[in-house]
Amino acid sequence: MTLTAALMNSLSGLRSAQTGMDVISRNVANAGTEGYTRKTAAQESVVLQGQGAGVRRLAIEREIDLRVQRELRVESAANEKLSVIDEFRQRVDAMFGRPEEEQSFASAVNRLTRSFQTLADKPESATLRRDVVDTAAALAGDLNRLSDRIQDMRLEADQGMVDGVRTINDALHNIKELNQKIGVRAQSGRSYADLADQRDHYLDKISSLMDVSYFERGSGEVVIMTGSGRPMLDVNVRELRIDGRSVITPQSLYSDDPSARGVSTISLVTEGGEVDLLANNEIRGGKLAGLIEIRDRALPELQSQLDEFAHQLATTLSVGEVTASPVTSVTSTQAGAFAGLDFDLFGSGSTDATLDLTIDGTTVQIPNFAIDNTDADSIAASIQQALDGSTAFAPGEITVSASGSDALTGALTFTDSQGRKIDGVTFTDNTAPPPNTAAPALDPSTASTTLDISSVATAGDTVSVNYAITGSSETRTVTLTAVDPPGNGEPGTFVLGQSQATTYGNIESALQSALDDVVLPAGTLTVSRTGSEITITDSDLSASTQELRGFSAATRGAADLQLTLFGDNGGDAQIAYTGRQPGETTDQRVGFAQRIAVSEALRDDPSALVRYMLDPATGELAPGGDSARPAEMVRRLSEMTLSFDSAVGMGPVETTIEGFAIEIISFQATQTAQTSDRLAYQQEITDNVARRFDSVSGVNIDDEMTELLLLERTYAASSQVLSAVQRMMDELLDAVR
Amino acid sequence: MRVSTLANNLHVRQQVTELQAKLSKTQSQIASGKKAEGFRDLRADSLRVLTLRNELQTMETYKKSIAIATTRLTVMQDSFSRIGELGDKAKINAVQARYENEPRLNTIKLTAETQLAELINLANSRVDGRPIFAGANLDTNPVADLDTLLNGDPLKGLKGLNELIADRRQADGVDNVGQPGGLDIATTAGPGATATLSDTSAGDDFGFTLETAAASGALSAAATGTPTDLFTVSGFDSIDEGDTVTFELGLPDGTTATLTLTATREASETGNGTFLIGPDEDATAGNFANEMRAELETLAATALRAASAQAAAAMMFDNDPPLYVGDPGGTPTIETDDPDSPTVVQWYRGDTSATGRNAVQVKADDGTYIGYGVRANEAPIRDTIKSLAIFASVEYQGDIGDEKQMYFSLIERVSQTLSVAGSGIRDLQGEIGIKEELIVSIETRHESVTALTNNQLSDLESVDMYEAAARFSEYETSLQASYSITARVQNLSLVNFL
Repeated sequence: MTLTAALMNSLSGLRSAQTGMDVISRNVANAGTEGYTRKTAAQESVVLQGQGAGVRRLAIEREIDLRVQRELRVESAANEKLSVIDEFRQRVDAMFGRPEEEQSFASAVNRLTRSFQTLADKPESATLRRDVVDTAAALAGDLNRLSDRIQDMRLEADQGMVDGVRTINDALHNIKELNQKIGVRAQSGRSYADLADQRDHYLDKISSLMDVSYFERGSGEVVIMTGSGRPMLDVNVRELRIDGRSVITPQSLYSDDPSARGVSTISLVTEGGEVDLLANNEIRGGKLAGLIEIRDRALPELQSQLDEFAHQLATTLSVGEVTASPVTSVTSTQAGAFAGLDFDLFGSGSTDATLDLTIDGTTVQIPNFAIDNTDADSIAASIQQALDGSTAFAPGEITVSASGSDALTGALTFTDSQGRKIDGVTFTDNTAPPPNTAAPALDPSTASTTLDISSVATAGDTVSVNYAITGSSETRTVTLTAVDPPGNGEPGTFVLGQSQATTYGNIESALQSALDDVVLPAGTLTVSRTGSEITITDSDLSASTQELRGFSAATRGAADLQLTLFGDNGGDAQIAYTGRQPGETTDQRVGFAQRIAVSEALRDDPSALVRYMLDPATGELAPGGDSARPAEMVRRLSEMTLSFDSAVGMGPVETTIEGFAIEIISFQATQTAQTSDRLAYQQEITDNVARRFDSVSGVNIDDEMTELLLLERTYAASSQVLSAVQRMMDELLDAVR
Repeated sequence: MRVSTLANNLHVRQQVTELQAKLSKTQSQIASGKKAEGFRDLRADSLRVLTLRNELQTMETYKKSIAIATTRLTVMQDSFSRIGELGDKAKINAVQARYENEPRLNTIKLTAETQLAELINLANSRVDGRPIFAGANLDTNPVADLDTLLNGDPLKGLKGLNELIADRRQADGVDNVGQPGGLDIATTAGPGATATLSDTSAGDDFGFTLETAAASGALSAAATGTPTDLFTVSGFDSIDEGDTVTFELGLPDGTTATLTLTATREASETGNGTFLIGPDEDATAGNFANEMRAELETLAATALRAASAQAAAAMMFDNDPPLYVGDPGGTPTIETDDPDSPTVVQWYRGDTSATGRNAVQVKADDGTYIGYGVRANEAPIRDTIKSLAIFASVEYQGDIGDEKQMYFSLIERVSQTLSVAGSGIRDLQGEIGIKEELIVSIETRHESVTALTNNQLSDLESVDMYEAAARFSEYETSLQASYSITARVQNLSLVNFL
């Protein structure tokens, strides 16, 4: 019955138009929904038994270009990474304030220099002295605050990573569920376009957080892997793990050794255990990569720059610039168990000693251990600990025992459990003399001492040797004073030469003859020289009637002008900053910017800003109106060129303290600007790809309206056909009746 | 290419947002006048901006330092002028008094006291509370006050200049009758009679010292001993009229006095260095010795006393720590004062360290330090104070005995010292003047560098207002266009035509 066939055909037309309307209405309704892909339902002519049987709609499908989608995800990940870095860097830059407002710490350094200079003009003013202390405190405060903010931001980044990991894990579970639903629908040939949209939404979330690769199985399920190819979702989800932190300090850094790691890390749970994804830098894109970059590279780099700055600031001002520190050492070559070593050297509290132990002709060096205790037993214990801790000996292989009660009378005995002969033991104290104090006196049995005399250059400079008469507490001093040429070779003087080398030679010969005059027998103390280093040796250590006690050079001007302006507020009480933690091997420099503070002694009594030791022997202080020390501080802050550690990310920098502060800010500003540039460029690319993607998947309302017109027509026409058929049927029935 | 409605909308929205951001930035640039909101906006220029700002601030500090130094230097110069003037006045007053009438001599002490008081005030001048002639030592006034200087500190048992002069006068044997200036006179009887002048304490630092002896005619004079402790004059047996003996005697202040004795046969001519040739050589020798004693006593009361006062002042002023005479009545010795338990007033209490001019410095530029520490114990100032102190201490007692001659001798010596001190002060003025000039020239340079730096900074930091305004209106136009296009595109929907 062809009439019935026509009825059925137009009915199928109506049905198809309805389905089409459904699709269009959804498209129009979702025109403003982000992530919604345009749906289409193609229609085809139905052929039954070789004959056309109307029209039918196929399953609803998404209009999507998967290749562009993949590209978009890659670009978005890169974009996310850069925008996180940019955001943090902008905040770093904001910490330095506006250029014209001079709020940065570089301005604070300059203010310190200026307050020293103002003090130099009027050193007696208590107000100006206080001003210097306050300005220094403000600078230290700036550095502390910057460091605190840096660490806060690192903690924030760390917590951002925790959030990110949680989001990824949720998304993975959601995708797994969607995978199952899609699988079921795909097998029965039903449309899963909307489920796929949902799944894409979660996948987008993941790929904005980290770079992942993925592919779709034939059954419609998607498999997700990390950028480095480790499976995250196949049949089962493999979750990411993160061990969040609540405290982050400058010392907390990433390490692939879990015991040394101070920040959280992201790991992937696999059958073989957890894999640390940060160890091999396996997260390279997305927000997480940006956070990692900020937490582990950008901010620690800035912190290390500030630390280096604080380190140089504290040491440059406090270091005795020209007074050479004597290298003291005690040597003996007694055979067998070595006993009878005097302890004076260590009573002063060496925090950095080196022990050379010679056994059967082989010397083993045990460097960098502290013997800052005072009684013999503790010193023996310290040395024992250093020996046991070294790789050269098994614990207990060499034992050290002490006799005597205190450092002055105690003696050490070294015993080798293997029965080998201990040929000799040498201690060297590498501790720099603490700033602002006279160099420590040498141990009575010191064999030799070496002094760098390169600072001796102007008339009035002196070189002194102290020696003691054995068996008495009396010490005597031989002092030579520099005089300008020609000089008449008066006793107690040496002539400054045309060149420094000549001066050194003159000092050497003058010193030898001066010592020979007073130390008997002549030649007991011998003077030798290598370049600018003069060594005095006690040639007859055991039988000498006099013992070498000290060797120093004093130069006028800069010699004793150093000032301990800053200390380390790390613990409960302020400690001196020496660049090394007392009793520990950790570097005191790390995080020093967070702990730097004005020396408490100076805060309590700012007169030390002006009054320095004129003569360590008599303790005579410079008069209150002497501007030498503040002037020297100005020079050290603004004119003295230093070499800054190239390990802080800026390459080797040779500049002043003030200059380095400027370099740091400028370096950070340039980095921020570069990140912003890269972000703008990446944004452009991402936008382009996004537009390409949207041109396929996006909804255009006009498009849909046109489609709607067509459907309306089809619907109207099909209804027309229906009513025509009905009329024809009616007429046919009427005719029959 | 198909255009997605959403993407299109988002795109328009993004463009509008971007334009708005630019507009807002330009707006704030116009408001603040600055290009950058953070160092990131300056990029690599941030290094220059920071450096220039640093320089600018440093320059300001240099200028402040220079201002302080300039004030001090000006006060110093004024003080120098007045110190020089006081020295000159004292000298002129004394020298004129020497050639004028007696009442003028009476006023010297009083005038000198007033002048010295002013001089001490000048040496203790302060700028902004800080003594300017004390080097780096600011605890006290550098120079002791007039009363302490002259009369000492009886409470602390410290001797002043008056007492030092008196002690020295005694030690130098000014008033020793028969042994003027510590010299003994004797004769030996003939044949071959001699007259001798001996210094029993040769080698000590007091009284006359025997320098050279010469004779003319038949007389001969011999000097023996090292140091010379004996002059022997012989040849009285064949003496003739007009024969002379000339002794050169050293005085405590390092000057010498010459004593010439001439033989005569006329009794009426004797006295004033002329002695009578007696009937035999013993008598002649006796006459010679008597005349020599009289002359030496006169010399002791005049030149020796003046020189003694001068030497006493030098002990106090020219030595640090000061010297004093120990046991002036017995066996006098020169002692060095122990600063820990002093005997003598410390006239200068300022800085004595070796730093000299550099005790007070101005840092006028990078690495440029100009030292201008002047101390009250520098020779010209010290000598002026010392000279006035001598005048203030030694009073003219009236024309009695040798007093007038003594005072003339004193005036001669002191005015000589004052002349040297005067030219020293002028040298000091010149030296400080050069430093002033140098500082001013550096300041001028700072001014021009500051102006230049400000210009550079403004180029780097400041926004060009015309350019910013142009940019602003450009963005404004774009934004307006965007809005109107957006509105029109929104109307251009098929929906409106169905």
